[in-house]
Amino acid sequence: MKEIEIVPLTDVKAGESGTVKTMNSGPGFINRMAAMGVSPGVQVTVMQNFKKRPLIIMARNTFIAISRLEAGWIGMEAGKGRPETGNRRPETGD
Amino acid sequence: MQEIKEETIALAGQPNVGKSTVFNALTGLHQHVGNWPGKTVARMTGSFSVNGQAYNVVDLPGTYSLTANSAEEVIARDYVVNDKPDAVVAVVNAAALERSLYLVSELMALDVPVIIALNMMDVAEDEGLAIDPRALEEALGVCVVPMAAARNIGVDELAPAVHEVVSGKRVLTPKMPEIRQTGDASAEKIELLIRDYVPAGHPPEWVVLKMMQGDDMILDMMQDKMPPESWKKVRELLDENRDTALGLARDRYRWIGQAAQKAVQKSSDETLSLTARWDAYATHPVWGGVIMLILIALGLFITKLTGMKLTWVSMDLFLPAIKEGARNFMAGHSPWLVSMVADGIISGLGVLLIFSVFLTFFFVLLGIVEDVGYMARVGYLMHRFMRRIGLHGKSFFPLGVGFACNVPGVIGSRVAETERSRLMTILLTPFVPCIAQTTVTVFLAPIFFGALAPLVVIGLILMDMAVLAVTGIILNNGLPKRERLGLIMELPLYHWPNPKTIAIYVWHQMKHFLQRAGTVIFAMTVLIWALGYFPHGRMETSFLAGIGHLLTPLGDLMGLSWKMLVALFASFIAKETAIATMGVVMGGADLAAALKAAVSPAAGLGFLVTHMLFIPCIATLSVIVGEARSWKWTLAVVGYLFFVAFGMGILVYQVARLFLGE
Repeated sequence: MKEIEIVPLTDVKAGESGTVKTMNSGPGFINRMAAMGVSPGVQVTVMQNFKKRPLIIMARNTFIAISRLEAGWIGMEAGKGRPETGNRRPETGD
Repeated sequence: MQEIKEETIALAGQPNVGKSTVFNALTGLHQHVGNWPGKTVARMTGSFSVNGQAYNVVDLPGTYSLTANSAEEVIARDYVVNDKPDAVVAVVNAAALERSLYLVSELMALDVPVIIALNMMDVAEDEGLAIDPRALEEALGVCVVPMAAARNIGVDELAPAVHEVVSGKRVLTPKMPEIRQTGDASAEKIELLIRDYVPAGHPPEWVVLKMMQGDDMILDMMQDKMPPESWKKVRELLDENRDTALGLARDRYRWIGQAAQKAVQKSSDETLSLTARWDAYATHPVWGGVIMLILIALGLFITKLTGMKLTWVSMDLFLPAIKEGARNFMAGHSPWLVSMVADGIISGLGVLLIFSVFLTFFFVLLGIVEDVGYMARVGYLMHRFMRRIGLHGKSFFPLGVGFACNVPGVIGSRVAETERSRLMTILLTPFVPCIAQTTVTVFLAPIFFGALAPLVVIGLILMDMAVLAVTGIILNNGLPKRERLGLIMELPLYHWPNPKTIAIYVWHQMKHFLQRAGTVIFAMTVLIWALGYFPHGRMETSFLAGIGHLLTPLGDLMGLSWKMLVALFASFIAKETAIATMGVVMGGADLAAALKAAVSPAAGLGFLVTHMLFIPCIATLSVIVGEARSWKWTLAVVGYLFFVAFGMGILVYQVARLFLGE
């Protein structure tokens, strides 16, 4: 069986989605994200991921803009891509 | 007749769930705006009645959770815990049900009857979600009222539902969130330890959860109440369970998920919503900026056209006539009385009228931008730029508006989410040169610098921006509670603006403006008139000129005569008054020639620098007092501007003198 690979949210390309596995930060950040719908186990779709720009993600039907540093704290199990939403260039990196 | 007690309910909800629309629908125009004690956060209250039973409604600030992350969250939580409303109506966004039930799960833990206003049913439907309110009611054990408040659907059922729950006609047993799987044993131990020390009104179970979530306010509160040795044990248990926040979040959503699963049917999951399609452009690094600039230009154009131009024209046409009429009508009375009515009172009312018309248009635009959900996109686009000066991206809007007029800029600071960034936005707006300041500069620069004038004007505006940036950095470092300005912001779904919501918004803003700032603007205009009139009825020998004379030593440092200083101080009435005052004190028909003769280019540059940085006009100052709710901060910013304006003016003059000559 393939080992589960955990990648930071910033490495997920625009149009792809995955499941939140870890959140490597203090309770303040975790509580704040949870209150906006991002918690362990939730499926997150990356809507926009441009170089040096905050990401735009969608989780639980909510669009959230999140800075790259904070997004990097969220560990994802990358899932199936959704190429049909790809009218954004899949550009990543810091 | 039976005695009827007024009941009080609180309205809670996350941002972007249509809470204000529900509030408006529930209370109609029976509303009152105030402020939460000691805060700049607006406090809305209203009332309605069902079958003769009167209800007060307190609109809590929109918050995602009840953890002490911000002033708003503390306000909402403290109100529910300490003021014990008879019920809380939780407005929930049906289109993002799970996420908005997070707050509900926190409210239910506070031992207060909860009624869910399941709003935005229409949006949910558009998003391909079918929600069964009865199933949700069943799953949560909480009364659920489905509605689409923006379309006026279902709101009539809310008030009777509240009445049934509060009067005890309808009793439901809430199925409390089970969020104790994680760290259960430790939680029980902590609860035993703290049980005797928990202040009244705080459910111990809830306090334990908040402590395990790392809520600083609750931790401090308990440390205060408990003897040190018991607190030490609690602290140890908490330290052992550092990862609890993550587990609690998962457990809470497990409970929410179970409820939502029973109530929600997804019909289609693959359609990309309209919002996502629009945001492909609206938040795009290039297109987003282009769209924003076009919209800002359009907004400024509309405001200028409808607001400013219209009012200036009518004022120029009618105000002199009205003043003349008043003078004729009062002929025979003592001259000071006539002048006070014509130049003081009527001018003051005229200024108020101008601002009222202008601000109304501005608030309509602001209301639309906010209501359709575009404001959040501006915040997103400008965040990288604004965070450098310690501000959130959203504050770009009020500062940008400041270029037209500082007054709506200061008031527009309300878009800032935290009290801290709001105060910073208020204090930084006066550094933005308004259209009147720019006009004065554009008028004077060619007189002093001829063909080089455009460069000077651009340079002066850039100087203002630089001072703003430096001040922003100083404030950001100096003010308490410095936040890392990481962006974590919801981008709400776009929707059509709701005319009623916007109309009520504009009405409240204008009422607030007239009550708070309007009175001050009026009083100050009359006061300045008095200073400029007495004791001899002439500006040249008035108290205002006297102040100018006192400042002669200061003027010497800048190469300016007292006349130019008086003109500078007159800009306190309104920035454009500087020119008119020069006309009066310099005398003569040709102001340009007189200025050219009296003021050297170096001194002219010094004057323009000082003018561009000078203390805000009366109207701006009045709204700063009203919005910051602090004379201390207002005086601090005035003192600072005064200091910086003259400091920079002197510096620039002294340096320029070396190159340009006296």
